[in-house]
Amino acid sequence: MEEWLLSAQRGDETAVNRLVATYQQPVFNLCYRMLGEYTEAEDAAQETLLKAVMNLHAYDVERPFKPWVLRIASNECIDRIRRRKPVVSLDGMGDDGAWEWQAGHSPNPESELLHHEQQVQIQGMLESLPPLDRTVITLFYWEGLAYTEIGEVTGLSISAIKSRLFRARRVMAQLIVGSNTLEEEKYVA
Amino acid sequence: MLRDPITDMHSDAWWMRACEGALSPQEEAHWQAHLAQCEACRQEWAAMAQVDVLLRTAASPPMLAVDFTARTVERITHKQKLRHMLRFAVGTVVLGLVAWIGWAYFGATLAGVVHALDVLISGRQILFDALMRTLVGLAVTVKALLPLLLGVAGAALLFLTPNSILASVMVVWYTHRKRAAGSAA
Repeated sequence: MEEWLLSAQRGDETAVNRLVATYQQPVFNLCYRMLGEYTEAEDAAQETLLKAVMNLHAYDVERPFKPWVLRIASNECIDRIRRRKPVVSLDGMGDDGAWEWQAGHSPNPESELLHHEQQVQIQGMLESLPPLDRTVITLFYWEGLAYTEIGEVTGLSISAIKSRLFRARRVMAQLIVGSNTLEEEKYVA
Repeated sequence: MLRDPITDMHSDAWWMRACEGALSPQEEAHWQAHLAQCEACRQEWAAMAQVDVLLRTAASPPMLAVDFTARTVERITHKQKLRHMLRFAVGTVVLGLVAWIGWAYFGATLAGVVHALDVLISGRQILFDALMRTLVGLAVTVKALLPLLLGVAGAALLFLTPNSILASVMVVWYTHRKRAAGSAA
Protein backbone atom coordinates (compact mmCIF):
# COMPACT_ATOMS: atom_id res chain seq x y z
CA MET A 1 0.00 0.00 0.00
CA GLU A 2 1.18 3.51 -0.78
CA GLU A 3 2.51 5.50 2.18
CA TRP A 4 0.12 8.39 1.50
CA LEU A 5 -2.87 6.05 1.65
CA LEU A 6 -1.76 5.13 5.18
CA SER A 7 -1.45 8.82 5.96
CA ALA A 8 -4.96 9.39 4.61
CA GLN A 9 -6.12 6.57 6.87
CA ARG A 10 -4.68 8.54 9.79
CA GLY A 11 -6.62 11.62 8.67
CA ASP A 12 -3.80 13.63 7.05
CA GLU A 13 -5.50 16.30 4.92
CA THR A 14 -2.77 16.45 2.26
CA ALA A 15 -3.00 12.70 1.79
CA VAL A 16 -6.79 12.88 1.58
CA ASN A 17 -6.41 15.57 -1.07
CA ARG A 18 -4.07 13.32 -3.05
CA LEU A 19 -6.41 10.35 -2.72
CA VAL A 20 -9.34 12.36 -4.05
CA ALA A 21 -7.29 13.81 -6.91
CA THR A 22 -5.99 10.35 -7.92
CA TYR A 23 -9.26 8.43 -7.92
CA GLN A 24 -11.86 11.08 -8.75
CA GLN A 25 -11.80 10.59 -12.53
CA PRO A 26 -12.15 6.75 -12.59
CA VAL A 27 -14.88 7.00 -9.97
CA PHE A 28 -16.68 9.72 -11.93
CA ASN A 29 -16.33 7.74 -15.20
CA LEU A 30 -18.03 4.73 -13.64
CA CYS A 31 -20.77 6.90 -12.13
CA TYR A 32 -21.31 8.71 -15.43
CA ARG A 33 -21.65 5.44 -17.38
CA MET A 34 -23.95 4.01 -14.74
CA LEU A 35 -26.17 7.05 -14.24
CA GLY A 36 -25.89 8.74 -17.63
CA GLU A 37 -26.16 12.26 -16.29
CA TYR A 38 -23.31 14.66 -15.47
CA THR A 39 -24.67 16.37 -12.35
CA GLU A 40 -25.91 13.18 -10.72
CA ALA A 41 -22.68 11.36 -11.64
CA GLU A 42 -20.61 14.17 -10.08
CA ASP A 43 -22.73 14.02 -6.93
CA ALA A 44 -22.40 10.23 -6.78
CA ALA A 45 -18.63 10.47 -7.30
CA GLN A 46 -18.34 12.99 -4.44
CA GLU A 47 -20.47 10.79 -2.19
CA THR A 48 -18.32 7.76 -3.10
CA LEU A 49 -15.05 9.52 -2.26
CA LEU A 50 -16.56 10.82 0.98
CA LYS A 51 -17.64 7.29 1.97
CA ALA A 52 -14.24 5.89 0.97
CA VAL A 53 -12.32 8.37 3.15
CA MET A 54 -14.71 8.05 6.09
CA ASN A 55 -14.43 4.24 5.93
CA LEU A 56 -10.70 3.97 5.24
CA HIS A 57 -10.31 2.08 8.54
CA ALA A 58 -12.31 -0.76 6.93
CA TYR A 59 -10.03 -0.95 3.88
CA ASP A 60 -7.82 -4.04 3.72
CA VAL A 61 -4.32 -2.70 3.02
CA GLU A 62 -3.30 -6.00 1.42
CA ARG A 63 -5.71 -5.46 -1.48
CA PRO A 64 -5.51 -2.92 -4.32
CA PHE A 65 -7.30 0.34 -3.59
CA LYS A 66 -8.92 1.04 -6.98
CA PRO A 67 -11.32 -1.97 -7.02
CA TRP A 68 -12.27 -1.13 -3.42
CA VAL A 69 -13.21 2.47 -4.24
CA LEU A 70 -14.94 1.41 -7.47
CA ARG A 71 -16.99 -1.07 -5.48
CA ILE A 72 -18.24 1.76 -3.29
CA ALA A 73 -19.03 3.77 -6.45
CA SER A 74 -20.86 0.85 -8.01
CA ASN A 75 -22.98 0.30 -4.88
CA GLU A 76 -23.72 4.01 -4.69
CA CYS A 77 -24.90 4.09 -8.33
CA ILE A 78 -26.96 0.91 -7.99
CA ASP A 79 -28.68 2.44 -4.94
CA ARG A 80 -29.41 5.61 -6.87
CA ILE A 81 -30.79 3.68 -9.84
CA ARG A 82 -33.06 1.68 -7.53
CA ARG A 83 -34.27 4.86 -5.81
CA ARG A 84 -35.14 6.47 -9.11
CA LYS A 85 -38.81 6.80 -9.88
CA PRO A 86 -39.84 5.77 -13.36
CA VAL A 87 -40.08 9.02 -15.30
CA VAL A 88 -40.45 9.95 -18.91
CA SER A 89 -37.04 10.99 -20.21
CA LEU A 90 -36.85 14.67 -21.07
CA ASP A 91 -33.35 14.52 -22.53
CA GLY A 92 -33.11 17.05 -25.32
CA MET A 93 -36.52 18.50 -24.65
CA GLY A 94 -36.86 22.25 -24.20
CA ASP A 95 -38.90 24.12 -21.62
CA ASP A 96 -41.86 24.24 -23.97
CA GLY A 97 -41.73 20.50 -24.44
CA ALA A 98 -40.34 20.71 -28.00
CA TRP A 99 -37.27 18.72 -28.94
CA GLU A 100 -34.23 20.88 -29.44
CA TRP A 101 -30.58 20.48 -30.26
CA GLN A 102 -28.01 22.87 -28.91
CA ALA A 103 -25.58 23.80 -31.65
CA GLY A 104 -22.69 24.63 -29.32
CA HIS A 105 -19.46 26.28 -30.39
CA SER A 106 -17.66 23.30 -31.89
CA PRO A 107 -15.67 23.99 -35.08
CA ASN A 108 -16.96 20.66 -36.35
CA PRO A 109 -20.67 20.47 -35.55
CA GLU A 110 -21.25 17.38 -37.73
CA SER A 111 -18.78 15.22 -35.82
CA GLU A 112 -20.09 16.62 -32.57
CA LEU A 113 -23.62 15.68 -33.58
CA LEU A 114 -22.41 12.19 -34.50
CA HIS A 115 -20.60 11.93 -31.16
CA HIS A 116 -23.72 13.07 -29.33
CA GLU A 117 -25.86 10.51 -31.16
CA GLN A 118 -23.38 7.78 -30.33
CA GLN A 119 -23.43 8.79 -26.65
CA VAL A 120 -27.23 8.76 -26.62
CA GLN A 121 -27.25 5.33 -28.31
CA ILE A 122 -24.73 3.87 -25.83
CA GLN A 123 -26.50 5.38 -22.86
CA GLY A 124 -29.85 4.09 -24.09
CA MET A 125 -28.41 0.60 -24.46
CA LEU A 126 -26.77 0.75 -21.01
CA GLU A 127 -30.02 1.83 -19.41
CA SER A 128 -31.72 -1.25 -20.81
CA LEU A 129 -29.39 -3.41 -18.69
CA PRO A 130 -29.77 -4.38 -15.02
CA PRO A 131 -27.51 -2.17 -12.83
CA LEU A 132 -24.99 -4.92 -12.08
CA ASP A 133 -24.59 -5.80 -15.78
CA ARG A 134 -24.07 -2.09 -16.45
CA THR A 135 -21.28 -2.08 -13.89
CA VAL A 136 -19.64 -5.15 -15.45
CA ILE A 137 -19.79 -3.64 -18.97
CA THR A 138 -18.39 -0.30 -17.74
CA LEU A 139 -15.52 -1.87 -15.83
CA PHE A 140 -14.64 -4.23 -18.69
CA TYR A 141 -14.83 -1.81 -21.60
CA TRP A 142 -13.99 1.57 -20.15
CA GLU A 143 -12.00 0.98 -16.99
CA GLY A 144 -10.04 -1.85 -18.59
CA LEU A 145 -10.20 -4.05 -15.50
CA ALA A 146 -9.35 -7.75 -15.67
CA TYR A 147 -11.96 -10.37 -14.75
CA THR A 148 -10.40 -10.85 -11.29
CA GLU A 149 -10.52 -7.10 -10.60
CA ILE A 150 -14.13 -6.91 -11.80
CA GLY A 151 -14.78 -9.78 -9.40
CA GLU A 152 -13.31 -7.72 -6.54
CA VAL A 153 -15.54 -4.78 -7.41
CA THR A 154 -18.77 -6.69 -7.95
CA GLY A 155 -18.25 -9.73 -5.75
CA LEU A 156 -19.01 -12.03 -8.72
CA SER A 157 -17.08 -15.12 -9.82
CA ILE A 158 -15.17 -15.04 -13.11
CA SER A 159 -17.67 -17.34 -14.80
CA ALA A 160 -20.55 -15.16 -13.59
CA ILE A 161 -18.77 -12.08 -14.98
CA LYS A 162 -18.28 -13.75 -18.39
CA SER A 163 -21.88 -14.82 -18.41
CA ARG A 164 -23.13 -11.33 -17.51
CA LEU A 165 -20.87 -9.72 -20.12
CA PHE A 166 -22.22 -12.03 -22.78
CA ARG A 167 -25.83 -11.53 -21.71
CA ALA A 168 -25.44 -7.75 -21.64
CA ARG A 169 -23.84 -7.67 -25.12
CA ARG A 170 -26.60 -9.90 -26.43
CA VAL A 171 -29.32 -7.61 -25.01
CA MET A 172 -27.63 -4.60 -26.61
CA ALA A 173 -27.20 -6.48 -29.88
CA GLN A 174 -30.88 -7.33 -29.89
CA LEU A 175 -31.66 -3.64 -29.41
CA ILE A 176 -29.53 -2.83 -32.46
CA VAL A 177 -31.20 -5.58 -34.50
CA GLY A 178 -34.59 -4.25 -33.38
CA SER A 179 -33.79 -0.67 -34.32
CA ASN A 180 -32.38 -1.80 -37.69
CA THR A 181 -35.59 -3.74 -38.40
CA LEU A 182 -37.66 -0.70 -37.49
CA GLU A 183 -35.60 1.50 -39.81
CA GLU A 184 -35.96 -1.05 -42.63
CA GLU A 185 -39.72 -1.15 -42.11
CA LYS A 186 -39.83 2.65 -42.22
CA TYR A 187 -37.74 2.63 -45.40
CA VAL A 188 -40.03 0.06 -47.07
CA ALA A 189 -43.13 1.97 -46.03
CA MET B 1 -25.54 -39.89 -28.02
CA LEU B 2 -23.74 -37.01 -29.70
CA ARG B 3 -25.41 -33.62 -29.62
CA ASP B 4 -26.41 -32.00 -32.85
CA PRO B 5 -23.69 -29.37 -33.54
CA ILE B 6 -26.21 -27.03 -35.18
CA THR B 7 -28.44 -27.06 -32.10
CA ASP B 8 -25.36 -26.70 -29.92
CA MET B 9 -24.37 -23.59 -31.85
CA HIS B 10 -27.55 -21.89 -30.69
CA SER B 11 -26.66 -22.38 -27.04
CA ASP B 12 -25.36 -19.58 -24.82
CA ALA B 13 -22.31 -21.66 -23.97
CA TRP B 14 -21.31 -21.87 -27.64
CA TRP B 15 -21.92 -18.16 -28.19
CA MET B 16 -19.89 -17.22 -25.13
CA ARG B 17 -16.98 -19.30 -26.39
CA ALA B 18 -17.33 -17.78 -29.85
CA CYS B 19 -17.37 -14.23 -28.38
CA GLU B 20 -14.24 -14.93 -26.35
CA GLY B 21 -12.50 -16.39 -29.41
CA ALA B 22 -12.17 -19.69 -27.59
CA LEU B 23 -13.31 -21.92 -30.46
CA SER B 24 -10.88 -24.43 -31.94
CA PRO B 25 -10.01 -23.98 -35.65
CA GLN B 26 -12.34 -26.85 -36.53
CA GLU B 27 -15.18 -25.37 -34.43
CA GLU B 28 -14.52 -21.98 -35.97
CA ALA B 29 -14.92 -23.46 -39.44
CA HIS B 30 -18.22 -25.08 -38.40
CA TRP B 31 -19.30 -21.76 -36.90
CA GLN B 32 -18.57 -19.77 -40.04
CA ALA B 33 -20.43 -22.37 -42.11
CA HIS B 34 -23.39 -22.07 -39.74
CA LEU B 35 -23.38 -18.28 -39.92
CA ALA B 36 -23.43 -18.51 -43.73
CA GLN B 37 -26.58 -20.63 -43.52
CA CYS B 38 -28.48 -19.17 -40.52
CA GLU B 39 -29.85 -15.66 -41.15
CA ALA B 40 -30.92 -15.04 -37.51
CA CYS B 41 -27.52 -16.04 -36.09
CA ARG B 42 -25.67 -14.02 -38.75
CA GLN B 43 -27.72 -10.92 -37.96
CA GLU B 44 -27.26 -11.30 -34.20
CA TRP B 45 -23.55 -12.07 -34.55
CA ALA B 46 -23.07 -8.93 -36.65
CA ALA B 47 -25.01 -6.88 -34.11
CA MET B 48 -22.87 -8.24 -31.28
CA ALA B 49 -19.74 -7.31 -33.18
CA GLN B 50 -21.24 -3.85 -33.74
CA VAL B 51 -21.93 -3.51 -30.01
CA ASP B 52 -18.36 -4.53 -29.24
CA VAL B 53 -16.96 -1.92 -31.63
CA LEU B 54 -19.37 0.74 -30.36
CA LEU B 55 -18.37 0.16 -26.74
CA ARG B 56 -14.65 0.00 -27.49
CA THR B 57 -14.64 3.19 -29.54
CA ALA B 58 -17.00 5.21 -27.33
CA ALA B 59 -15.68 8.60 -26.32
CA SER B 60 -14.53 9.06 -22.74
CA PRO B 61 -16.93 10.69 -20.28
CA PRO B 62 -16.45 14.45 -19.81
CA MET B 63 -13.69 15.68 -17.50
CA LEU B 64 -14.60 16.74 -13.98
CA ALA B 65 -14.80 20.40 -13.06
CA VAL B 66 -11.48 21.93 -11.96
CA ASP B 67 -12.74 22.69 -8.46
CA PHE B 68 -14.14 19.20 -7.88
CA THR B 69 -11.16 18.09 -5.76
CA ALA B 70 -11.29 21.18 -3.54
CA ARG B 71 -15.06 20.89 -3.08
CA THR B 72 -14.83 17.20 -2.24
CA VAL B 73 -11.95 17.63 0.23
CA GLU B 74 -13.83 20.51 1.90
CA ARG B 75 -16.91 18.31 2.26
CA ILE B 76 -14.79 15.47 3.66
CA THR B 77 -13.07 17.78 6.18
CA HIS B 78 -16.43 19.19 7.26
CA LYS B 79 -17.85 15.69 7.70
CA GLN B 80 -14.78 14.58 9.70
CA LYS B 81 -15.17 17.59 12.04
CA LEU B 82 -18.85 16.79 12.49
CA ARG B 83 -17.99 13.18 13.26
CA HIS B 84 -15.43 14.23 15.90
CA MET B 85 -17.94 16.60 17.52
CA LEU B 86 -20.60 13.93 17.47
CA ARG B 87 -18.22 11.40 19.03
CA PHE B 88 -17.31 13.88 21.78
CA ALA B 89 -20.98 14.67 22.48
CA VAL B 90 -21.97 11.00 22.51
CA GLY B 91 -18.98 10.19 24.75
CA THR B 92 -19.97 12.90 27.23
CA VAL B 93 -23.60 11.76 27.30
CA VAL B 94 -22.57 8.11 27.76
CA LEU B 95 -20.19 9.03 30.57
CA GLY B 96 -22.90 11.10 32.30
CA LEU B 97 -25.39 8.27 31.93
CA VAL B 98 -22.95 5.72 33.32
CA ALA B 99 -22.22 7.97 36.30
CA TRP B 100 -25.93 8.56 36.90
CA ILE B 101 -26.88 4.89 36.60
CA GLY B 102 -23.89 3.92 38.75
CA TRP B 103 -24.93 6.34 41.48
CA ALA B 104 -28.55 5.17 41.28
CA TYR B 105 -27.59 1.50 41.65
CA PHE B 106 -24.54 1.68 43.88
CA GLY B 107 -25.32 4.85 45.88
CA ALA B 108 -26.50 2.89 48.97
CA THR B 109 -23.40 0.69 48.88
CA LEU B 110 -21.17 3.73 48.55
CA ALA B 111 -22.92 5.37 51.52
CA GLY B 112 -22.25 2.19 53.55
CA VAL B 113 -18.59 2.28 52.63
CA VAL B 114 -18.37 5.95 53.61
CA HIS B 115 -20.06 5.14 56.97
CA ALA B 116 -17.64 2.27 57.64
CA LEU B 117 -14.71 4.56 56.95
CA ASP B 118 -16.20 7.11 59.31
CA VAL B 119 -16.56 4.47 62.06
CA LEU B 120 -13.00 3.33 61.50
CA ILE B 121 -11.70 6.87 61.82
CA SER B 122 -13.81 7.44 64.99
CA GLY B 123 -12.50 4.16 66.53
CA ARG B 124 -8.99 5.28 65.88
CA GLN B 125 -9.77 8.51 67.71
CA ILE B 126 -11.19 6.58 70.70
CA LEU B 127 -8.12 4.36 70.87
CA PHE B 128 -5.87 7.40 70.78
CA ASP B 129 -7.85 9.03 73.60
CA ALA B 130 -7.58 5.87 75.75
CA LEU B 131 -3.87 5.65 75.16
CA MET B 132 -3.41 9.25 76.18
CA ARG B 133 -5.46 8.72 79.36
CA THR B 134 -3.39 5.69 80.31
CA LEU B 135 -0.18 7.59 79.84
CA VAL B 136 -1.47 10.48 81.99
CA GLY B 137 -2.65 8.00 84.70
CA LEU B 138 0.77 6.36 84.76
CA ALA B 139 2.40 9.73 85.12
CA VAL B 140 0.16 10.56 88.11
CA THR B 141 0.91 7.17 89.78
CA VAL B 142 4.65 7.64 89.29
CA LYS B 143 4.36 11.05 91.04
CA ALA B 144 2.60 9.45 94.08
CA LEU B 145 5.25 6.77 94.50
CA LEU B 146 8.09 9.14 93.93
CA PRO B 147 9.41 9.30 97.65
CA LEU B 148 9.46 5.51 97.94
CA LEU B 149 11.14 5.16 94.61
CA LEU B 150 13.70 7.78 95.60
CA GLY B 151 14.41 5.95 98.95
CA VAL B 152 14.87 2.60 97.17
CA ALA B 153 17.11 4.25 94.65
CA GLY B 154 19.17 5.93 97.45
CA ALA B 155 19.58 2.65 99.37
CA ALA B 156 20.59 0.85 96.19
CA LEU B 157 23.10 3.57 95.52
CA LEU B 158 24.43 3.29 99.11
CA PHE B 159 24.89 -0.47 98.92
CA LEU B 160 26.27 -0.63 95.42
CA THR B 161 29.12 1.94 95.63
CA PRO B 162 32.62 0.66 96.91
CA ASN B 163 32.51 2.63 100.22
CA SER B 164 29.05 1.38 100.89
CA ILE B 165 30.34 -2.20 100.55
CA LEU B 166 32.96 -1.56 103.27
CA ALA B 167 30.37 0.11 105.46
CA SER B 168 28.06 -2.84 104.91
CA VAL B 169 30.85 -5.31 105.97
CA MET B 170 31.50 -3.29 109.14
CA VAL B 171 27.81 -3.18 109.93
CA VAL B 172 27.63 -6.99 109.52
CA TRP B 173 30.80 -7.46 111.72
CA TYR B 174 29.43 -5.06 114.39
CA THR B 175 26.13 -6.88 114.39
CA HIS B 176 27.86 -10.28 114.84
CA ARG B 177 30.06 -8.95 117.74
CA LYS B 178 27.07 -7.47 119.48
CA ARG B 179 25.21 -10.80 119.16
CA ALA B 180 28.26 -12.72 120.43
CA ALA B 181 28.60 -10.40 123.49
CA GLY B 182 24.94 -10.76 124.18
CA SER B 183 25.15 -14.62 124.12
CA ALA B 184 28.33 -14.64 126.42
CA ALA B 185 26.55 -12.52 128.97
